[in-house]
Amino acid sequence: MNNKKRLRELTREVIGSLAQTFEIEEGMLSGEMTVEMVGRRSCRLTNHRGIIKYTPEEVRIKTESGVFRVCGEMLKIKGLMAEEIIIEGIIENAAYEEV
Amino acid sequence: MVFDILKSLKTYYVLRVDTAFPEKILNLIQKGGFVVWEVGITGEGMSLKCLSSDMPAIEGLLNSLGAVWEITRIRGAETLIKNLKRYKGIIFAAFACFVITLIFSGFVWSLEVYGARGISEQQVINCLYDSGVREGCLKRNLDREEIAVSLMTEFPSLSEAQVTFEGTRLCITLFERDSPAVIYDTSVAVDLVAVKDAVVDFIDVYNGRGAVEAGQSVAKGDILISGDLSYGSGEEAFEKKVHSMGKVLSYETAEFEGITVDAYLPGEGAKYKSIKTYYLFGRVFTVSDAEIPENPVKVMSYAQPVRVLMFSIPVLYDEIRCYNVDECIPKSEHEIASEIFSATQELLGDKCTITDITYSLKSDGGRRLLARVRVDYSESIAEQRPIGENDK
Repeated sequence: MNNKKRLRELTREVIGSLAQTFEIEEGMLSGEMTVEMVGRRSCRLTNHRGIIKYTPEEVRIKTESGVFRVCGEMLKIKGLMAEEIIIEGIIENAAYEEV
Repeated sequence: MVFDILKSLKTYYVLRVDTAFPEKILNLIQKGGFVVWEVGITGEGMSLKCLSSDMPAIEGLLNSLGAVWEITRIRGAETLIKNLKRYKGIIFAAFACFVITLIFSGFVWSLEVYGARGISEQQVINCLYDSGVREGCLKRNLDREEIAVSLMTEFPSLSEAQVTFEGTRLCITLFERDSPAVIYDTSVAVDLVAVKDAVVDFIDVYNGRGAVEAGQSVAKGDILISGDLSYGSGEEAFEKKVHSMGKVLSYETAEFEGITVDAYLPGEGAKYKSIKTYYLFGRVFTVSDAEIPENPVKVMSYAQPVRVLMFSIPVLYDEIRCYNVDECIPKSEHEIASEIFSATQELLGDKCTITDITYSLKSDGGRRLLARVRVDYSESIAEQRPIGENDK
């Protein structure tokens, strides 16, 4: 179990250094979610694992690192693709939920 | 952006799905590798957009989940084509305009002559007409080199002729052996020199120093008014060169024969029969009205554009309007004199001013008059030349 953890850490480190060397987003290599926000009106998430809840006030998205929650008003899924989701509306809060 | 354009080009559907669990459907769609966008929560379900290519699979998915759904709208290329069909008249007209413009741009609409000095523009145009080059010709049928050669052969005074197409214009630029006078800016010091061998009959110096006197004979290139006002030598030398200006005239007399003038003028509301000659694709078509009056009074008009509705097209025609002499009125003496004056001025050129004109008329046996003209005129014999250039 310990070995597995170490291996995972080591893999992350290698990926991190590779991403730094080639100046690319770490998330693209590791498969971790990346979030891009344009002010309060748009939020783009890549490498998500699915939608858990979708209402105009709240969108909960499953990711590798936990559940990501976007709260606001008039939220709308502008685009939904295999690895990417774009949420538009008046975003008030975007954060990981506490485990 | 690119994706939006692609979506617009492809056909896409707007769906309304009544479900209590929109997340489930969205996740299944995402896992199926389909793309959806504009997902919004509505009263009892959601609305979304998807590509028509994904529609059968999404339809199967929705049916398997037992969801109630419907296609509310179809957008994209398919709808666009339907909308375009609605405006097919306008689209067809726009396309027709484009095609017509494209076709007409292949023709010569007008002939333009530049640099003609000793030769009149009309002479050049007549020469072009004689060699079959006129408005309405197809551009690709015209050989520019051939036109240039024919002009240079016809007019010995030409040292070069350039023929170019500028859009639908055929531009002829002529360079005469006696290169045309250059008009210099007033900041350039120039002399006025004689353009030909002549006798100076009148000289009026506005600026500079008169180099000749009235009554003196001059040869071509002699200085008439000098711009060099320098005098003295050594330390007392004064040097000043100016842009000389003035009027130097030579009085001449000329006689012309064979100037023709119509003796009659169509009366108001006079009816006529016309003979039209069309020039198209280098061919000549003549269309004549029936019952042309015998020995008519003819009024010519050249190079008229054919008009379709309110637009003129690059097909030209010459028209001869034949009036019955009974419906015409004889021209007044003043009208005849005026026409003879204009024709004589055209023959003399713009450097000459008519001072006196006398003429005699005789009938040509028809409705026209032949004039024999004796004209006294003054001709400006000066042209500018920068000081020191080719001094004689």
